[in-house]
Amino acid sequence: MKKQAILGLFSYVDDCVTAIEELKKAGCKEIEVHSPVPSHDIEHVLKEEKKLTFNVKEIIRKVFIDRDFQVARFTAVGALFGIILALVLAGGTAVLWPIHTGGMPIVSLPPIGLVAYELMSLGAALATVFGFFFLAKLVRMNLGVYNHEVSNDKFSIIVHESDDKVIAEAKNILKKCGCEKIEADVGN
Amino acid sequence: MSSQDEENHTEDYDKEFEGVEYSKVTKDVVRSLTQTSWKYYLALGITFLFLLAGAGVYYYQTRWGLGVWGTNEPIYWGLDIPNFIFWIGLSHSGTLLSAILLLTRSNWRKPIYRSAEAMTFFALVTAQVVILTHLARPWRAFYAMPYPNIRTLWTNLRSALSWDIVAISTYMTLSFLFLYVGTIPDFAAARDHTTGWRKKFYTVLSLGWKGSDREWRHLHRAYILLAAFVVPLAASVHSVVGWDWAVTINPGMHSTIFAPYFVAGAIFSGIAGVVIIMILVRKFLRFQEYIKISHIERLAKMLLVLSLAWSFINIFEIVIPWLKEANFELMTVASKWRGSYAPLYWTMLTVNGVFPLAMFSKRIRTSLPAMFFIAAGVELGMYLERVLIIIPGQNIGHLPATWSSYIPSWVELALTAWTFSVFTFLFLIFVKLVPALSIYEVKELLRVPRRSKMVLAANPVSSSQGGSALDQRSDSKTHGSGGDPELATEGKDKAKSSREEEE
Repeated sequence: MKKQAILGLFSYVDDCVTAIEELKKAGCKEIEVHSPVPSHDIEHVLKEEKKLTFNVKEIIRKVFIDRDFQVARFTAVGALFGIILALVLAGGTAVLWPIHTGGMPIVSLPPIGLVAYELMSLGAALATVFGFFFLAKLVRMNLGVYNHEVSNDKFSIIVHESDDKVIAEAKNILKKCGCEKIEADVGN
Repeated sequence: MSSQDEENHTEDYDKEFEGVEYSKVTKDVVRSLTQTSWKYYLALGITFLFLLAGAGVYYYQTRWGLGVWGTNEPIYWGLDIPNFIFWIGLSHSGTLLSAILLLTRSNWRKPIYRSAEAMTFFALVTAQVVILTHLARPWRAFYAMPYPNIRTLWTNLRSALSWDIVAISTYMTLSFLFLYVGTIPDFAAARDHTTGWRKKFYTVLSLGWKGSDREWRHLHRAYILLAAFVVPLAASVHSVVGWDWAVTINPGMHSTIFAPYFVAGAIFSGIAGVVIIMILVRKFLRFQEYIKISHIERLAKMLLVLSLAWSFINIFEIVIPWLKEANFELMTVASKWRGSYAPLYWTMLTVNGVFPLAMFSKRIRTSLPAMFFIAAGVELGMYLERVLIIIPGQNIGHLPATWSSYIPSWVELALTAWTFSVFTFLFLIFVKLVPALSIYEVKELLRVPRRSKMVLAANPVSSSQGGSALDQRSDSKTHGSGGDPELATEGKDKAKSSREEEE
């Protein structure tokens, strides 16, 4: 059975939140919400309880498919990489081409520390941005089911489902919750 | 969600923006991109002419070498290094101010930060242009980059100039990333509300942004992390620039106070730059409804504090050599007080230390012409400060026989003007291609659209009688207000009048 998607457009955030709650109760699992501004209400209602798991397959799915982890991990790795690069660059190159200056050490800590600090920031920032793109699944060519009024003043809920009955029920819920417009996309 | 939570969220908006709706913000910002007045084209045309003329002067300098400058022994740097410090200094505050205010959750940053961040980035680009003009043989700029050449001769990273390259390149990259990441949702808004080449342009820049919960969540975290790195980095960059001179033994330069002095001076000139940019953007892009007088007043308070800090450091710069009886340093001071540099020195003190005191008055802080005048004065003063650090610092050395005088040549003055035209040109292009006001962050300051609030205002009795949210929705649909824009507007009007009554 082909997966279908329906999009419901709302003017009010509380309507949108109620609709999400009702859709979740009705068994809709794949719900996507688009909003013009970040909303705590929407984040709160979409939040799922996390269970600790040590299943390798589950962890791989979480990291590479769901991409469900914090961007700060990228930052930490990037910062570490920057520090190592600085140590190699500032310390290593001083050893490769030693310049003897009045009894001062060839590998001197203050310049290494300074370069390490700068490159740590650079590595961390680049990794943070890369992590943000990766986790937010950005750099996509096709927007999929999307209504451009979302970037103006509307809130939209997209339900992805393959069961016709659930889709019909989802439409009813959206209408009942104050949805202004429903768009359907079959074969998504 | 509890009703108390709901109420808290409902009231979480800035009362200065009462009555402004989400759609108006989008409309106004997109209008600033797509509608262009003749004044803009005139400004762009004049700037472009200056840009071309400057490029011609730069060609002349490259063709004939640095002999066309007014420099002589022992003054080798001329105006280029003061220009460089000036532009690096101006680059502070934009991104730094934005990052600090973001980390401290100061909402007043939201309408002003985009242009301020752009100012940072373009000031850094202009500083790079100054480096190229200073090199004279710009095709050899790559010598400064750390790469393994055929003699395995690496860049000496123990040199303060190498630190400069690392620090400024890092700061420029971070400033760009901070600016770009924060603009992605606005590029998406511009993509959705423009047509033609602009739509294609914003489609590429928005990277497929849709405004999903996942995107907002990760954007917020990434943005906070970037801000956390930007703040100390900005301080480190100007400290490193200060150390370029502090690590020398020249009188007037060899001072441990240089790093904080440079950082304070940079933020001082940076905030003055933000004030100027804000006043111009507010007027010419017609953002009076978003960039309020109160924003300028807050910046004025910061400018006043920094003016006092700057004056304090300047007093110390004189007191320390006086206490330790450092004769050559005192001679540098004397040359500024009553020597050939006196006119520049006293102008600097007046515009940086005296005029800003007027900002103790609220009337001055809330007057745009007065603030523009004070901020422009601070920029002039900070430029003179850099000249007064570099030129007498090179001139008044330990050997009085080498002391000389210096008058910049027309080439140096023309290239100084050129840097201003580079900055202005880049900024003018920016305001027509990138939303100069953050659409989504300004929307965050507005009242979140909630039906519960509308129903409560339109029908307080039935709402207070209870019933589920779905029931309320059904009621409002039955009465025709749900989904009916006219009635919804009527509801909003009633809500507004109800709020006014409450107030």
